[in-house]
This record gives sequence, structure tokens and C-alpha cells, in this order.
Amino acid sequence: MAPMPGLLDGPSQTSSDRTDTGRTRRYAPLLRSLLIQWGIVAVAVGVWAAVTASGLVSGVLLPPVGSTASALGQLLTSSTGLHNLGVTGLELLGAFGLSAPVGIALGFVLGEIKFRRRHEAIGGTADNLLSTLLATPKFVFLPVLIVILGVSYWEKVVYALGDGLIVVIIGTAAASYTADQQVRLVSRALRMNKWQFFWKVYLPGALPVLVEALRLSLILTISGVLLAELYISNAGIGYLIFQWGTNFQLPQLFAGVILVALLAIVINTIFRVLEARMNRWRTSRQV
Amino acid sequence: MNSGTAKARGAAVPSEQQDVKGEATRRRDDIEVKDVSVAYSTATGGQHVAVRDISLSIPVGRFLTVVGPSGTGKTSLLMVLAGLVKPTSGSVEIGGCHLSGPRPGATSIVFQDSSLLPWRTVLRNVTLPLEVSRTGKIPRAEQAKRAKEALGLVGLHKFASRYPSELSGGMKQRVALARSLVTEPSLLLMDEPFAALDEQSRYEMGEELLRVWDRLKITVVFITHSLSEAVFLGDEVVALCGAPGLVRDRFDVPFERPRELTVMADPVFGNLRGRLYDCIRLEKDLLP
Repeated sequence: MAPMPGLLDGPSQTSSDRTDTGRTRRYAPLLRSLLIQWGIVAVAVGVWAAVTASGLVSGVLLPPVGSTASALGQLLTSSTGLHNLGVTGLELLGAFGLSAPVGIALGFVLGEIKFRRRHEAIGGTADNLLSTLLATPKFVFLPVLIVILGVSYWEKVVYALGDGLIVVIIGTAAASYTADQQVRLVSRALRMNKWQFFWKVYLPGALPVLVEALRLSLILTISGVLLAELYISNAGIGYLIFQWGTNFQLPQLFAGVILVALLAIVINTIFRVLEARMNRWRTSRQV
Repeated sequence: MNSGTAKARGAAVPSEQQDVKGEATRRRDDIEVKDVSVAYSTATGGQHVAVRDISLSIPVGRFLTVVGPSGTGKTSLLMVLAGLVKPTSGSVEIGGCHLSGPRPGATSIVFQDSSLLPWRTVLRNVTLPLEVSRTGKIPRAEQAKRAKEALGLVGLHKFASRYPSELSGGMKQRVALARSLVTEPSLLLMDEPFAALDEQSRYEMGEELLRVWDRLKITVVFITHSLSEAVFLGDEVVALCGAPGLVRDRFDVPFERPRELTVMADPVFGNLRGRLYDCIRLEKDLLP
């Protein structure tokens, strides 16, 4: 997959105008970075074309740009292509659709336990458990998963949850610090119940951290689903990529990989836009 | 923002004895602090006594300032009055009713940190207490109306759609004050609300607070480090000294209302201030 832009970046907002909080100002840094990114991609494609056309790199190792592009087109328009894309898409939806709400709910509970420093044992145990799950290569458990669930939709989804869900829980638990003691005191003084506190005070404040956790979770979910498909499957993008790889169908193989990269980039961009929107109340400076 | 407006809105004006869901609403309440002690468990497993056997009587409508050095338990006392901390011994009665928990409809607190929610506009910050009000659902339009009135009281009517990050420290505290007044409390507790402001802003905010208070005439308990602020603002000053805190001095401030900053030039002001300083300094000498 192509490198994820912005994975190690600092905050996406750069300068901010004191009085103008309009849309162009807010999105300008984003547009600028997009332009640069696609500029780099264009240059890379240019180099690729030059290198294959001139024969510098053999066609066995690197397919020509043209045939890759048409393979990509085939993938996106043919019925088999779309069918497999659909299969993977549904798996992603299922895995992420579970990771996000369940992860946020569990993460909130865990975060509050740790923040209030009650039940130290629970907090510590949960931390250890989550770290272990995240650090262990779950790949080795795929055969076990297949024995339990068969080669199926749910096998892929559960495998992807192994990373996707854990990351959301950890990120959300860490987000408890965003609701500081002072604001909690105010909430107590207003006699807010847990529900009101969650929706009005905790969630909006923790949102930047949560969005970042969700972004990472989605990326790991994609990786998880694809890996499960690559291992054993009979449908999906991972399945197609495996077939093409085995059959040395390079243009198609590259097309598949590029498509996944594009998917990651689109997701990243969507999250960046979300972040830009959230920075609305951060971009204005003090009078 | 008085009972006259409440009647105009068609809301029921509570009688002296009426209680809504166990919370006092608009009764005129005297406060009795009876032999209150507050002790906290420390991280090392011991006990830290913040306040010991304090008794105070605060008649309704009084502006009481509590002054004293750090560590004398002023904040603990305020927390007890707020119902946020249960006293280790003793009790607080408001209007003859034992205080058992926070009373968001009747008591409001302003802290040193304005604690505004940065993702909400100024208006939505002020409507927050109304949104979580336990005395019945208030429609959005009504919430906005009351919030605008409260903002008008503190002179920030034009800033309703701004965000807290666009405001100065003093303005944020004014929003915090508006938020505390939007529920029309009968008791306003303030824990060094102006301590984070520069001296100029402090005095301006003090004057502003008095202007607002002159209109509402609710009971206020105001904690401060500043001796001048204590004498300038209060009807009555209580000096808490020592660790654990005890009431070392208590006097009425003789100046008329409404008060101007010019009162600080009056020699009586200086005497009172000096009296407070002596009390505090004495304590310092006694400390090991």
C-alpha cells in the first residue's frame, strides 16, 4: 500500500486568521496538502511510465502504466470486479461498524475507570489484556478462526476486529483526560447524569482523539480484512490480488494494490476534512 | 430576571414552603453552617483536616466575602456549601432544610477556571444548566431567551455566537457568571473567580459583579485571596486563618451601596484592610 499521508504529521491546522473563520480559510491548508500529495503521485507515475517505456525495468517486474490503468478500469467496471469489491466492502463495513460503537462504549467505560482511579485492578488488567492482544500477531490464529467460523464473512470480520476494535478501545480510554477535573466539577454541580455527561461534555471534547483512533482503526481494519482474504478466501479484493499474484498477472495485481492504496487515501482525506471541521472552534485566537 | 419576570413567563412562583423534587427553588433562604469539619484522606493514607468546627450564619441577600491565606480551607467550605463535598462532621442548613447534595436550581458556583465548553458557542454554554435542568424540560427557544437575558446582565449580549477561544479571560469569566445566573439561583458561590485576571480587570470585574448583584440581591459567598477585594465587595467579611481553618475575624463593611472603586481611598477602607492583614500575619507568625 502507498504510504499513508499524515500518519506521523503534527496537527493539520497551520496558520489561522484572527477574524475570518470562513470555509476557505479552514480548508486552505488541506487543499494545499492535497495538491502537494497528488503532485508527488503524478511525478511518481511519470517516472514509472518513463522507466517501463524505456525498457529500463523489465515488464516482468513492473507492468506498463497503460495496461495497469486499463486493468484498473476493468476492475472498477466489470461485474466480477464489482462483485469482489462489494464483498470486501461489506466485510469492512461489518468490521468497522462493530469496532466503532462497541469500541467507543467499552473505551469510555474503561477510560472512566482509569481516570477516576477506582478499581485499580480492573484498569490494570484491561490495559495488559489490550496491549497483549494488540502486540500478538493474530495472523497465527487464522486457522483456528477458520475452524470455528469456516471460510466466511464473519471469519474475516472477527479477524479484523482483533486490531480494529482494540485500537478504538485504547484510543477512547485515553480520551478521558480531555474532560478535565474542572469541567467534571461543573458537571457534578449541575447534577448531570452519566448519559448527559457522555453526550454533552465527554464526547465533543474527546472527539479529536476519537476521530484519530477511528482513523487508525479503519486502516488496521482494511489491513486485517485483506490479510484474511489473502490467506484463504473465495471472494473479495484480497482473493483477487492473491489470484493475480499467483498467476503473475502483473497489471491486474498492481491495479488491485493501487486501488487499495486509493481507498486508504480517500479514507484519510475524509478524516482530515472531519478534523478540519472540528478545528472550527480552535482556529480563532484570543482577542 | 426576578420573580416579576417569572410571573410574566407564566411560571409558577413557588411559595415559601414549596419544594420541587426535593430541591429548593426560589425560597429566600438563610444559611446556617453548624460545626462543620472537613477532612480528606491523603495519598499517604493519613487525614488532612481542611476545616474544623466552623459555624457561620449567612442571612439571605448578604454578600459575604471569605478571605484568608492558602490552605485554610476556604475552598473546602465552599464545596460544602455547594453540596459537592459532605462535611466530615456538622451540617449545613439552607432555609431550615438540611443540605444533602448539589442544588443546581438554587445554588450556582463560579470557579477560578471559567470551564467553558470550547466547542459550544457562548450562548450554548450559558444554556447548559437549563439543558440538564431536573425541574422539567425547557424548550430550546425559552432556553435561548433566558441565556440572552443572562448575557445581557453581564454585558456580553453581542457575543452570543462567539466561541470561548475568541474571548479574553475576563470575558470568559463573565460568561461563566452568566451561566451561573441563568438558573436564577438564590445562592451564588464564587471561588476566587477573578484570581487569574490582571489587577485592572479584577477591579473592573468586581464593579461589574456588584452592578449585577445590585439588581438581583441574591446571597453571595465570595472567596478571595485579595484583602482589598474582600473589603470592597462584601457586606461582611470573614477571615479564615490557620490550618485547619478557623474563623479568626468577622466584621461588617460600613460602606453604602452602590459602591464605587473610589471607596478604596476612604481611610476606613485602609483600616479594615489593615485589620485583615494583621489577622493573617498573626497566623503566619504562629505557624511553625
